[in-house]
Amino acid sequence: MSSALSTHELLKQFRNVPVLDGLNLDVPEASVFGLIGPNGAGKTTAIKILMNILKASSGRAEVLGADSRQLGPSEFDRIGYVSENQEMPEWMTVEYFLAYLKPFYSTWDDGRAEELIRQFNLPRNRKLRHLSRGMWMKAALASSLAYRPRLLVLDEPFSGLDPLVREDLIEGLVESAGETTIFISSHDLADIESFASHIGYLDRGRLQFSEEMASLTARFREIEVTVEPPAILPADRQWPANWLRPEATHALVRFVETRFDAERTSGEIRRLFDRVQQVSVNPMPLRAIFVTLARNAPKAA
Amino acid sequence: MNVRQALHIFRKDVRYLWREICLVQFLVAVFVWTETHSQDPWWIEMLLPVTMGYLIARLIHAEAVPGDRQFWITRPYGWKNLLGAKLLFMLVFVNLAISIAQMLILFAGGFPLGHSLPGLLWSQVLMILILSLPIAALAAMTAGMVPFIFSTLILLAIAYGGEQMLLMSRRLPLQKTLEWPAGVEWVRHYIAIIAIAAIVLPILYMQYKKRQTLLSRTFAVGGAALGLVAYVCMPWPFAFAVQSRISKQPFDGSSLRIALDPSFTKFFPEPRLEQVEVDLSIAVSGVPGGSDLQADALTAIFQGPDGRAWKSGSFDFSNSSKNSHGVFTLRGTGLMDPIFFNEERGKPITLKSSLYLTLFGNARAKTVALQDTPVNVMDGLQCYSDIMGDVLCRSAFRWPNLMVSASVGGANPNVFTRFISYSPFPASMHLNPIETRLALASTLSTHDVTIIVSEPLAHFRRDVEVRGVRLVDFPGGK
Repeated sequence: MSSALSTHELLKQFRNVPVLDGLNLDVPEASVFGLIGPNGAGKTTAIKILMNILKASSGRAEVLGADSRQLGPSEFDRIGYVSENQEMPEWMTVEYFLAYLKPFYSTWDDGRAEELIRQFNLPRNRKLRHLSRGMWMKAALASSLAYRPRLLVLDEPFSGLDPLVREDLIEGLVESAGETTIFISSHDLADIESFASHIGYLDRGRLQFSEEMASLTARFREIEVTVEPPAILPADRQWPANWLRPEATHALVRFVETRFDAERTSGEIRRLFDRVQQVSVNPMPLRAIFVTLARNAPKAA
Repeated sequence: MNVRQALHIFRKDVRYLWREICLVQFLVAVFVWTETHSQDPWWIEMLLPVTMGYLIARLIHAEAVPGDRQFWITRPYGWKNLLGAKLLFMLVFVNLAISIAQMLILFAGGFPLGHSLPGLLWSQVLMILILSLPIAALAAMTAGMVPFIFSTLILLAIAYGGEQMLLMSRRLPLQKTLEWPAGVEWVRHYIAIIAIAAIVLPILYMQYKKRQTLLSRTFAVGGAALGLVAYVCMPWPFAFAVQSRISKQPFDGSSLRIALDPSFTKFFPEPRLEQVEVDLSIAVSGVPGGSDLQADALTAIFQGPDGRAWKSGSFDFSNSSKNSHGVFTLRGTGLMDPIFFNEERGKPITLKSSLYLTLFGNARAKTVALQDTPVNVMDGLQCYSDIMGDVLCRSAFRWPNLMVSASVGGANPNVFTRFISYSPFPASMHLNPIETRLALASTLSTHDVTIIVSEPLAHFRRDVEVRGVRLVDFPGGK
């Protein structure tokens, strides 16, 4: 599968402080790629370099096959970009904003624009400055979906929005997924989980891992082992590196398996623990995976 | 360039800035009204550029260049289209508006518009280079009105400080090198305009094509500093050499006989300046018949027998006359170091001077009966007399680069001004398209006035050396 976005050893420093430290990223076409990571991980910086808003200190990035430093009108004709802190022409009404943008795009679809206005319940004659945060974000998204871009880049689009608005936005995105590659950075993991096909985890400027959502959720499991008391954790050197956040209570050992394989994991458990009474294997939501990774960043990938 | 996109952005800007556009057009209308009804509408000439600057800054900030959050930078804007739209807006709502206003003022004043057309166009070129583009470039390097106003205030403070330093320096011996002969000062002005264009055009290019604000700001500061130093340090003899090269006819002045005229040369201390004032009088004969001569500048070196020298700056020439034998007497005033004066005045010294002269000719005259309403005389000049009987003439966009005199009832002609610019360009940078000058002539006795104009034909330099001059031989020299 070809890439919609890719970066190669991307480095960005602000006053000699590295924000991106050799980022290698590959976003397949037609995917919904969620870039997650703690605050200050470099997500917004990476996106701004990809959108040719910032210059990288070194390394390179490609967007739809073009060098990101060369992105110009012909590339932006096929790219949508929405950011939570974008400055919009707030004096424009929603209707005029869309009408103004229309001639810039060769693939602008009036029908799609109308549909988005209705779907997002946007007030046509209200100025952007008078919209609520949720409506503002919907208008921004509508203005980027109406020309059916090949690539849609969203930087923290759900930040500070109420659940209903998030749901509306996700609905709009899901409808476009398939024809559009969606690259989204967000802290709202539950929202991403609902529609992302790929996940990348960025921490301290480095991509800790990047994989398909199905594979990620398949390999992360929270395991609870009930043993005869007292439960004792084996010595560090015996503890598998891919078992994170171990904790032991009276008769229970709990940990996160990051490379779950039913047969292999079961064998490991029986090797390390005597008198195993019960093993409980629980799938993990993305939020729990994220917390596990964030707290064990060096080992996680 | 995609003209449709540029026009689309232009229409958006008109819609966005309609209030500011109305304000500017209202002030333009007030400008026309005051210029045609008031004697001194200085306030509108101050207010209008400020408002136009505000409009241009708002226009540029509608798609601010610095920053990383603007919506337009990730939309398919072509930089040429965006810049083209902004330039078109400035042309329509600033330059066209002012052009129409100036045409109306000239029309109301009875000036023939055909004759004024080159001036009209050139004044707009100057306005674009001096007002519109620098403001646009400054706005393109700032993200909003607050930093723009702050930057403007800093620039104005630097300009004011520089001007004050120049004024202060006039008390120093350096003074005369900083003062330029009025006739060639346009060379310095146009070099400054070229420098401004050389700074602002690359800035606009860099900002709109690459959005390299840090580089643009560095370039702007460096360029402005270099330009300022060049402007202050540029020697006026260079400008005079330029002027000589574009003289209408070749004349090297070698046929002229030049001598120090002792009758009016004198020295007297000027305690306020701690200098000795030198009045030099120079007699020039051999000027071709039918021609007139004017001294634009003189520099002098007084060299003592021991090799010690005093080098003056340029002398101010405020007076020249011609006697019945065709000998011109040129009188200039300069300053001399009192220590040199006191120590050398009894010794035979050598005076080495360079005279910068302009030969006028092709004189034409026309006699008109002046009234209180201006009448077209010739060469774009309109003349009239005021209620005091003074003779006034005015012209469109600039005072012509001609020596203009008025003779009332056959009396000796009085020039309107000796400080004419020899600039070959048809306009100077003023909003008010009419420039008026007064002649020291009165029409109280008769209204018949002969207006005489003569053209500057040749600009040339003559170096003169007079040996054995003793300052004590002149009045004040003892």
